[in-house]
Amino acid sequence: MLLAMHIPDGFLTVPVDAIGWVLAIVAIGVALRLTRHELGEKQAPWLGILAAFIFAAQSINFPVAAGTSGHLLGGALAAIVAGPAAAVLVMTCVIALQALLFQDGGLLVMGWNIVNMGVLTALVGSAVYRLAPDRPALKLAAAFLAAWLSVVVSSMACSVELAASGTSPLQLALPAMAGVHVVIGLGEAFITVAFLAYVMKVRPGAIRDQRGPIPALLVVALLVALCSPLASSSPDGLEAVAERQGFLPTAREAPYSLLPDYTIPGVQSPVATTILAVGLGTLVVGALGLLVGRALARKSTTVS
Amino acid sequence: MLRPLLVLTYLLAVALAHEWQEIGLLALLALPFATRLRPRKLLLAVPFLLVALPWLFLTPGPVWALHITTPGLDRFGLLAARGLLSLTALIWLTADTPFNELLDSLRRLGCPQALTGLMGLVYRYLFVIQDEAGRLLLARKARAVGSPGVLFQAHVAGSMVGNLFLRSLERSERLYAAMQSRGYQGAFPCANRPAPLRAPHALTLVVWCAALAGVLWLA
Repeated sequence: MLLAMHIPDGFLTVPVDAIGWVLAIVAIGVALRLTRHELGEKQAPWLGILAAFIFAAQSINFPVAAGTSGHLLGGALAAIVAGPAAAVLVMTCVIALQALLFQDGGLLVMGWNIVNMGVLTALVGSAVYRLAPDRPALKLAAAFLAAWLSVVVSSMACSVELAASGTSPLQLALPAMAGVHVVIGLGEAFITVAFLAYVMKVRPGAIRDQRGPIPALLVVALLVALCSPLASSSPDGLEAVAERQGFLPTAREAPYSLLPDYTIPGVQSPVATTILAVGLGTLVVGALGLLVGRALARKSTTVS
Repeated sequence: MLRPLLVLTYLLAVALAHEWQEIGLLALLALPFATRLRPRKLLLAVPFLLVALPWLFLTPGPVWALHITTPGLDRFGLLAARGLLSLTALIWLTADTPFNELLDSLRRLGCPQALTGLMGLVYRYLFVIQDEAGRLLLARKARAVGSPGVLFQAHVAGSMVGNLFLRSLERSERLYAAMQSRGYQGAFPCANRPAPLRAPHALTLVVWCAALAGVLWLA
């Protein structure tokens, strides 16, 4: 199931590929600089082991119904453990090695794979996690929501890229991808929250406190990611989505598409309803996270 | 260095191909790759073919059968063929090239040393930590009885990931100490420079690119 997110070569057009690489290279460059500043000499050993850990953690699975199994994508987990910049680098290594060793995901499309599964998951994950006040139950709840949302946002971005290349019609691909990953994301959320509860209990100091002001940039990135499909939900047919080559620039300006020009872009369209549903889902999963977080927090305090 | 460039240019040509003739000629060019083909790996493309499936019905045009339109079939077929050819080339590259050579090529293509060094480290420790995870999985298998609920299983899996994380944390401290005691100062000096692109290689590359360009231009 996890494989559904590693786009192989041949499914995106060359201009779309190029945009993905530009975004990925910018993100990696910024992340390299930030982590060198923050970690210094320890950058390589710490991030290297962390990436190997994420790689291995993806093989720890548990059976879910109907022969499928849940396991980790790990972007949000890495962001919670090490901060967003380090998580971008870690996930870049993981994704590059998956392509180069196991052919999971292509080379030309690797830019987008890095953006989807590394950059977006790291930004969304740490944005949500940092929002929570520093109380164990709330941090656990935030980790739950962060992990779930990171998977859903990542899959939505993936379907937008596929649609922009004309590989699949957005009106169908977006609801389908989001729908599947709303469920898969729950697995990710449960593993991540159990992970965090375990580490908090066994080695309370192991995860450095990430407080400080919430970087506004992260929240903006989250909003853009969620809204970008709106930019293409204009009703001029399925072909238009594929043919319109100005698609991605409009996608990146997504927040402006809510201005009077578009007013409310058709709540009937499946794209808009998907986004609404994901918004509602965020509230529901947040509430669920609070329950899980409270239960786990109580458990870990009584045991220790 | 030669092989990654051959594959990259080939992938680019496949991504640019829009006609059946082009795809056919490119498939002929891919014949040397096909020697290494492992059919099971081609399954990796299946989820994306599923996502592309609606085009069979949604592309406007004369109906072929079962609501599948002829242009829809065409479009879906082209996508599938492109995915297949790309995957074949990628398999050829990664199955036959030692990892160090891939890293060298990445460095020559402009990837920063910090990142290639990091990837080398990950490759070195990947299997070590994978073994660690394998031991955790084996231990779970050994002590698990019956089939408990999904939530409990998720909890166990999460705790295992947490355990693995703490072990990794300790390992990274040991690794850092080991690197420091060997004179590590924050960079990966590389003694063996990547081999330069020699004349026969350059010639092969030029001929290859000309062939690819010819295919795209003629068809």
